[in-house]
Amino acid sequence: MKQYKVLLKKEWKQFLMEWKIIWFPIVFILLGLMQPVVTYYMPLLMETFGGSEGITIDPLVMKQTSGEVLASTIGSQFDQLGVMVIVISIMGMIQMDRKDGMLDIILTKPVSLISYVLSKYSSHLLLVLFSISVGYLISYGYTVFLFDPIPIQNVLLGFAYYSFWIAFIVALVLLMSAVFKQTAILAISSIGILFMIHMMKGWNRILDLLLPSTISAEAMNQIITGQGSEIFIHIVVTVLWSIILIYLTVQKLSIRKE
Amino acid sequence: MELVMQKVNKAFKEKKVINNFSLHIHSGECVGLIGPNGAGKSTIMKMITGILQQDSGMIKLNNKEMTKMKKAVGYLPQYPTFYEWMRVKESLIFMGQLFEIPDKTLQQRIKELLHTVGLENNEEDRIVTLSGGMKQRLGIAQALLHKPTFVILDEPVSALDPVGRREIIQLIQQIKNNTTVLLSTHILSDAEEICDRFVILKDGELVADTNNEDIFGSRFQNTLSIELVNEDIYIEELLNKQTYVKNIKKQHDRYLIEVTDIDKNKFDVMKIINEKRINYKKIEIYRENLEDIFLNLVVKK
Repeated sequence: MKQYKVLLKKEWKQFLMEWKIIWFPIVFILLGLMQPVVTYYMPLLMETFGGSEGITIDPLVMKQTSGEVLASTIGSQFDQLGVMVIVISIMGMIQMDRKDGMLDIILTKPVSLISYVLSKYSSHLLLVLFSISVGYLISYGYTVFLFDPIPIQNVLLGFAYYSFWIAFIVALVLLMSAVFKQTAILAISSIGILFMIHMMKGWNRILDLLLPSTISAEAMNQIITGQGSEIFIHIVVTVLWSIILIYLTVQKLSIRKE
Repeated sequence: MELVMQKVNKAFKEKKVINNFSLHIHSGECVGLIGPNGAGKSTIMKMITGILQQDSGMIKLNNKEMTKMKKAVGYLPQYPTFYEWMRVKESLIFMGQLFEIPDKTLQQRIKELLHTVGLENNEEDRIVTLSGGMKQRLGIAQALLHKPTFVILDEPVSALDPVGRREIIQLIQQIKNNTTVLLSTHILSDAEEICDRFVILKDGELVADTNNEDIFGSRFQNTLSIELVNEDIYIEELLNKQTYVKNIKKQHDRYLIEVTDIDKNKFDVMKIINEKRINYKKIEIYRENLEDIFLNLVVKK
């Protein structure tokens, strides 16, 4: 436990040194801001830049509710560009230590692999959740300001559900970071797997129950309608997936063949 | 602190790098692991520290698994690595905290060690700004921070300039007084200066396990070494006629003259050389040194 705290402190110092603690939330603030602003000003933008001549616009798009706008921040901004930013920013968490030999040095000290892996996971998860929550808060503020208020319970529960999906993403990148040494392969495989998991959502009901990405859709439902279906099962499944991925990371690092 | 390695094997994919290697290091010994590049020195050290797993065989420190003895072991890798964004002192504090050294003791220990390795004026420098030699010293400080009783040093002086090298050799000589040391090097004169025992490796196999006594014991063998200014083909002919000369061998730029009684015959040989006015650079009683043993075992085999 003592070593875990020392390693965790080191991770946060490193975030500060690399300015990650500053620029990472800024990226999510920009992403969070984009959805309500663009949605609100879309008609004006269309008119200003060439008008809407020859373009048929779905009238429903113009009439998005505030809940839908906030949910789109998750679905369109955080789950697409945001996920790519997360993967690229945190993919070096174990890979860099393996590449430059620091992992070897740390493991010659009385540090357990579990402490090491958990310190990496928890510090990066906290950083990502903090950044997303700031972006989400900004998005919420702008949505309420430009559109209508959203019940606070829906906003908070929606974010809580979405946090489980983020926990899964960080666990997946953690494992990939322990498996691959080449940055490009690590990035492509992480984004590829996340994209596939996202695409498989909605194929059939049983698969949906097993997919960690379903909780992201449930988070959006919660924000829009104030209701989620089988949410407890989705939480348990996503948490289980994350635990499995963390366990596999520890196992991967414990095999020290090369 | 006693290390026992028994019939250890290690292969990387299909290539066998350590073959049936056994070694017993007794408490307080300073052992030099010597071999050409690629002989398997670093692999053995990494297996001892637990960085690598052996495919088969046993490695135990004081009869316990290495994973349970991490607090007793200090390790300096061949290329010391650090979190380069950290400052010198900060890095040592981080490492010390991993060993759960109490704060007050740790501060005191860091002060002592930075003085010992000559980095007392660099404690607030970022590691990224240090030279290779300074990083090597910091690596040594890091390895000794928790007062280990078994120290593993992988090529500790290879990256240093002559002055730095001398300082580190002196430092190792200090620590070996109360610590068991295993160090690898390919600078044989350093090994000879520091170690009491030498384990020679070739292609992952142990080819010799010798000690200073064996090497210095050969000092008094009945052989003279003569280095001439110009190559003189008559010296062989001249000395061969002497009844006390048993054998003459030319080795590189010197002649090795084996005689029946070194104490008596060294003066006879000198007399002949002086009488015939043969110009020589050096005449000495030949002793086989570590380099001779190494070349004999590793190069010629």
